[in-house]
Amino acid sequence: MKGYIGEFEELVLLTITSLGDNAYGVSIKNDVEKRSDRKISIGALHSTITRLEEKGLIKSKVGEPTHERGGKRKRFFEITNSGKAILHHVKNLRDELWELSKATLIPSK
Amino acid sequence: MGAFQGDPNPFQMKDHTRIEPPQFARKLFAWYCRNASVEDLEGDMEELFYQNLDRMSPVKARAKYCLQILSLLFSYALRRRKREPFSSRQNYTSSHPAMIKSYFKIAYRTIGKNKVYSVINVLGLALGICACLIIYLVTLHEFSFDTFHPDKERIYRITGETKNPENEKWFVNCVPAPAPAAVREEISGFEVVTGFHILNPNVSIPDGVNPAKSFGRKNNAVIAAEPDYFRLFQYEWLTGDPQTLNQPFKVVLSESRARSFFGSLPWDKVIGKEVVYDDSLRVTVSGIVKDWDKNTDFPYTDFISFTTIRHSFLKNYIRLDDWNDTRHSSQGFVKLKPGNSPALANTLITALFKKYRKDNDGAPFLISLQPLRDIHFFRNDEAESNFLPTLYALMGLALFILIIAAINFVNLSTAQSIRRSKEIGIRKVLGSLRLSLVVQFLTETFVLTFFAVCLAGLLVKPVLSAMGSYIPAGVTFDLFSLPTLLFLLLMTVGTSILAGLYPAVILSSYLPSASLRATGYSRNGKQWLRKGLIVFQFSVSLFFIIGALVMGNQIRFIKTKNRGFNTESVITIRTNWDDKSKRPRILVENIKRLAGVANVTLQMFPPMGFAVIASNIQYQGQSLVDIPVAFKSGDDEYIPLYQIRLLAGRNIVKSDSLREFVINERYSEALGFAKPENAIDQILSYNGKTYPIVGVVENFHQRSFHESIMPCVIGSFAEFQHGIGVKLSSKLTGEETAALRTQIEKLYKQLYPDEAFESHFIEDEIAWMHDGEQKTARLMNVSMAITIFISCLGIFGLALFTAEIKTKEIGIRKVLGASVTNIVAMLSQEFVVLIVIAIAIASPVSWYFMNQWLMEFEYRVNITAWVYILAGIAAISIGLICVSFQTIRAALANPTDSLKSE
Repeated sequence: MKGYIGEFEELVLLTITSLGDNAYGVSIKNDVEKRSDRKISIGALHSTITRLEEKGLIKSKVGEPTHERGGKRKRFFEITNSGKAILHHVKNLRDELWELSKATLIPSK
Repeated sequence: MGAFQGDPNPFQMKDHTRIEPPQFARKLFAWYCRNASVEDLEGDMEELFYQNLDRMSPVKARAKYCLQILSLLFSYALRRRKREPFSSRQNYTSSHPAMIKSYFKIAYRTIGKNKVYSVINVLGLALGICACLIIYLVTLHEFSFDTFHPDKERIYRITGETKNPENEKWFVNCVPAPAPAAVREEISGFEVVTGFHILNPNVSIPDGVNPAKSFGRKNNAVIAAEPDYFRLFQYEWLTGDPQTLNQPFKVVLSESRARSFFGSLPWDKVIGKEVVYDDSLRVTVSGIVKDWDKNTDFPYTDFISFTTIRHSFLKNYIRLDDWNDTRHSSQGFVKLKPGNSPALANTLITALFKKYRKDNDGAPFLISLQPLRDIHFFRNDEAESNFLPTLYALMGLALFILIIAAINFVNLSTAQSIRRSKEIGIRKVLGSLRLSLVVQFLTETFVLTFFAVCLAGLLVKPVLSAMGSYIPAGVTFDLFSLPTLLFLLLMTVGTSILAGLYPAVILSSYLPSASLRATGYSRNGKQWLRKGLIVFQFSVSLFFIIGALVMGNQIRFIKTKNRGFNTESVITIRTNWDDKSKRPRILVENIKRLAGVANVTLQMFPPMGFAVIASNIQYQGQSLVDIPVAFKSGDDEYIPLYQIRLLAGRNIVKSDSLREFVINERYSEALGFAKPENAIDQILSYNGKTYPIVGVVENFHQRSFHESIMPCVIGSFAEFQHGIGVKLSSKLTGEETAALRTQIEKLYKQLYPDEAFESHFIEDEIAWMHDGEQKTARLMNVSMAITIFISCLGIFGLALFTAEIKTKEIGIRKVLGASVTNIVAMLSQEFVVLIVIAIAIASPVSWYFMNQWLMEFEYRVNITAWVYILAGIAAISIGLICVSFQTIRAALANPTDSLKSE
């Protein structure tokens, strides 16, 4: 499996997947902030998104003009097949490690 | 949880519409981003701002907005977007497959929409490409000769330069017969030195029982060759080997030759068979080689062993000890050792020649080894190849035609610019890249060129067969050969760029703001270019029109000018030159008896022809006159038969040996006689003997019109008279003439059973002397037709365009009372001016070149003013006819149609 994604990239990628048709800048930001309880800057988020797109893990398309944002269009993101593959890979790796270290991971009393 | 999920409008709007994000931050962001596509980012920022307003004070929300902007400004996301070209994130790049599909689709639509333009362009380009293709095939053929020999770059022919008795430079592409052997023995540094002699014998195969099977002397390729010949040129030996040629009376045959001699006899049975050359040279077959299947100038089929020469009558022709006799039939070849320079060899061989050519009157024989690759272009005894410049001229011509066609294309494309400027404007507004537009236009050109190439490919075969006499034999068109396909590909790409790049760049440069203005885009500044191109095309056409007229005049002049003798229904027959018997005289007597024959003469050559024998004759008058004089030999019927007019004295009397001379007027003048009568009974000395002048005849042409009439004597050199001139009765019909020729052939065959019969009308022979000019003239006519055609296409297209942009003007003029004639005149005026300018340009240029061409003729027509007048009238009428299709249609149009739309 080629390619490597960082923790934050994985988080954004999963969030995009979970948001389905409604994954765009603000919705991703709100969701990530809410779930992980941390503040992220819009610049950092978009940089990560850009990198994910460059790696071909997500693709984007521009939506229709909206009334809300002064008529400005949203850019919607969607996971690609290679994105899905890499998420599975990351998950399998974790599961494997979890299986091996399950005994040790029980908090000692 | 899930507050945002699935919610299309995840933020609630309070009534914050009046509160806005800080303007300066927004502007800063917009300024920083410039062309990058950031609409979605701005949207996100705005949305976050209003979201924040719900939770915090406007001041805080503003501060937050500024921070977010800053985070974006320094983010990778923005750097990345700025790096990408304008708006390309939403659009495809110019090379995206979808765009390529779109290019072709649009090209197809545009071509379909402008059918007339497209047809004009395709026709013009097809013509140009077809011309290029044909010239390419010819060039390929001409350069394919003898390229297959191993070590071909080390093989040279021994040629040289010396001076003839008249002290003119003389290129010699042959060697004295003993030269090759001497070079081999006395100079080292050659891998192979070999000489061979081209023979033209009569071939027959004795059969034992039946009379010998004769193969005549026509189309023979017989040489006397040494075994070393086969070290110089490689052959595949089917049987036998080169060493057999060390013995006399052996011959090696090529496979095809052996098959034609002996049918399908097995090779071991062919060996030892007898072949007879010139009835008495009996040789036996000692080997068979495979024919070369590539183009070559050495297509020899019979290789008689060199040693046969000394043992047979051949020694009388090939004088192996005579260094002063250079005949075309004796050839010398060397193959240098690797690394040796031909320059050194030249010096050494020159010195060798100097040593042996003793009694030569001081003219040195300067050797220059001629590379094998040049031999094809120096087939004649000339220092400069006639053929190569012609080939280059043809290449130039073909390219020229293509360029004119491309110019048409440029012209028509830019003429369409007004129509297309709106399209271009809209495309640009919708975000098209300039590169995409350039590619779009080039694709259109490419599609048209592709059609043109296909059309040219279809045209090549018919054109090749129609122009058979210009195309060297052996030129073939094979579409699927690699060089042809590569050439066509190159042509397609090259022509597309040549014709398409300029319009593509110009059209794609239009600014949308200007081209979308209601008034349209006027580009008056570029009109001069279009007009210039039309002027150029017409200048070229006029050049060819004038050239064709002048050449036509000269050729008519050659055909109709009084040559000083009559050629009407005279045919010539040649008999074996080496025959010393009385057979020609008997043949003359026999032919005389045939019905329908008016007169017969025994002669050497007819009055005018390729072969002119000249020698010096002395006359001792007040001073000695010793000049070269042309010899015409014939019996007493020669002068009456050709109706050469006697100015003074009488005709020669019948005699078996030379007794007296009739001279021509020019010679009489050269001898210093004021009147022809004065020359009578004067004494000329020739070869140590003296002969009286008995008559003076009017000058007649002996050579082509390129050369002046020489001083000339007519006498009866009986031993040289191997030709016969037969004057047929002028009343004969074509069928009777043919029947008579068959009868003459029968008489000939009775005397010469083994010789091929050959007879020609003198008029044809004279025409062959000017064959080159006639071909040039016909080529000129073809060029004229092509250039006129292309120019017509060009001017037609421009008229179409002019009529289109002036539709409204014409409408208004008609409403105000202009007649159809007025309007046609108005529209045509412009073109007449252009053609007149073209006449002004073409006249001096064509005068210069045609004058050069005419200067080569000693007897020529003058270029008269009416040639230019005629050419000018022709060009203007052709131009006007082309234009009139459009102008008349435009003038007849109903003004209500042209004025109603706005």
